[in-house]
Amino acid sequence: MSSHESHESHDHDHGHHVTPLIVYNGIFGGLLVLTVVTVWIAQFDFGAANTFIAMFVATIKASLVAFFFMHLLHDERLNLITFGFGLLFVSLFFLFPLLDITSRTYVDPIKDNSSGAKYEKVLKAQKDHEKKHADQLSNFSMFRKSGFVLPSTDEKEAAPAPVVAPIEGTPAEGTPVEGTNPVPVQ
Amino acid sequence: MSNIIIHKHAHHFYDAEQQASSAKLGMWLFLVTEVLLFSGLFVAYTVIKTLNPEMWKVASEQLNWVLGSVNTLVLITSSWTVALAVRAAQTNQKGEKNKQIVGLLVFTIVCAFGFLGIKYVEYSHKIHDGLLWGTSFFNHPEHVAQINGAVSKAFGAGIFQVPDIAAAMKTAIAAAQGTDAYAAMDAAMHEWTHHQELVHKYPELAHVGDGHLFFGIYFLITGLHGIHVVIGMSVLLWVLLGAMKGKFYKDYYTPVELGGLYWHLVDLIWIYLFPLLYLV
Repeated sequence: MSSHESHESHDHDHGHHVTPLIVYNGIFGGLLVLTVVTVWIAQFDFGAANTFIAMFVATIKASLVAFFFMHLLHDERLNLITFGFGLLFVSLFFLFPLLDITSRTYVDPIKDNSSGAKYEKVLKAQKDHEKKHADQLSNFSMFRKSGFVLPSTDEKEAAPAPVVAPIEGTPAEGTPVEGTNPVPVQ
Repeated sequence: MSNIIIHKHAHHFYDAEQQASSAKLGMWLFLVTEVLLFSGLFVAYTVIKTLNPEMWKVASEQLNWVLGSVNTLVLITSSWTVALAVRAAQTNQKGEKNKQIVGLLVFTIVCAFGFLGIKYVEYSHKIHDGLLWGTSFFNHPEHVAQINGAVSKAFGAGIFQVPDIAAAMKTAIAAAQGTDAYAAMDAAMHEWTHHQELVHKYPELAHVGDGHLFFGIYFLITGLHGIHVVIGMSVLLWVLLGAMKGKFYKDYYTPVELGGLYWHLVDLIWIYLFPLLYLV
C-alpha cells in the first residue's frame, strides 16, 4: 500500500504532462489557418496598421507554438518565467530606439530658435548629401538617354539631354556634350 | 526483452527527474539569449524601415511571397512532427514506439532540407540580379562607378559621349578581336550590359536609391536564421542516431525534448520574420 502511494506521488511529481494527440493536431491546423490568414490579410492596405495586424497574428501563432508545442503551459512555471523575462528585455530593447526614431519629427525649427539654427544646418547637410547622391546617379546619364533611368525629381523640369547627332559640323573630339557627365577614368 | 537502453542519471543530481528539469531550464535560458540575438537584427529592421519607408516598400516587393509562404508551411509542419516525436518518446514504454520516433525525426529533417532548398532558389535569384547588401547592390553608386570606370578604361572615356553606347562597344570589340585589349573590353561590356538590364528590370528600385539597406537586413536576418536551421538539423540528426539505438523512452527523453525546443525556436523566429520581410 505504502509502496503504491509513493509510486502515485512520484508519478505526480514527475509532472510529465503528456499532451493529447488531438491538441497537437488542432494546434497544427490552427497554425496553418493563421498562416493563410496573415497572407490573405496582407493584400489589404491598412496603412500604418499593416505591421500591427501582421504582428498580432504572428504573436498568436508564436503563443500557440510556445504554450503547446514547447509545453510552456503545463511545464514548470520557472521556464515560463525565464522566457517571459527574456521577452520583457526584448521589449525594452525595442522601446528606446523606437522613442528616438518616432520623435525626431517633433523638432520644430520655427518655434525653437536655439535649436532652429542647428536644425537648418542639419537640413542643409542632408540636402547636400542628397544632391551628391543624385549627382552620382546622374553618372549613368547614358542610361537615361536610352530610357533606362528615370530622371531625378530635380531634373524633371529641365529639358531632356539632347541626343548628340552629327547633323551639321561634327563637334570637335573631346568637347564635353551638354547633359552628359561621364565618370573620370581612375 | 525490451528494445531500449536504460538511462542512468549523473551522480551530482538527486534523481533523473531533477537532471531533466535542470537541463530544460538551461535550454530555456539559452533560448532567451537566442531571442535577444535575433532581436538586435529586428531592432535594426525597425529603425532602417522607419527611416526609409519609400525605399523599403519598393525593395520588399522584390521578395517572392509565395516561396516565403511555402517555407512557412514547411517549418510549421516540421514543428508539428518534432512535437509528435517528443510525445512518442514520452509515451515510449519498452521501445514499441522507437520506429515512430525515428520516422517523425526523419520527416522533420527532410522538411529542414526542403526549407533550405527553397531558400537556395531565393538566394540564387537575388545574387544573380544583384539584389544584395552594400556596394554589391546592382545600383549602388560605387558599384556603378566601378562598372563605368572599367568601361572607360577598356573603351576610352569618349564612349560615354556616343549616342548608342552598346553598338559602339560591339564595333570596338569586333575590331579588337585577337588583341590583348579584347578580354578587358569583353568583360567590361558584359558587366555594363548586365547592369543595364537590371536597371531596366527594376526601374523603381534603381530610382529610389539605398535599396542595399533592405537587402542587407534581409540577408542578415534570413542568413542567421538559415544558420540556425542548419544547426537545428544537425542536432536533430544527432537525436535521430540516439533514437535509432533506442535510447529514448518515458523516463529519459531529454535530448529529444531539448532538440525539439531548439527546432521550435527556429520556427518561432520565422513566424515573425516571414510577415515582416515578405508581407508588410
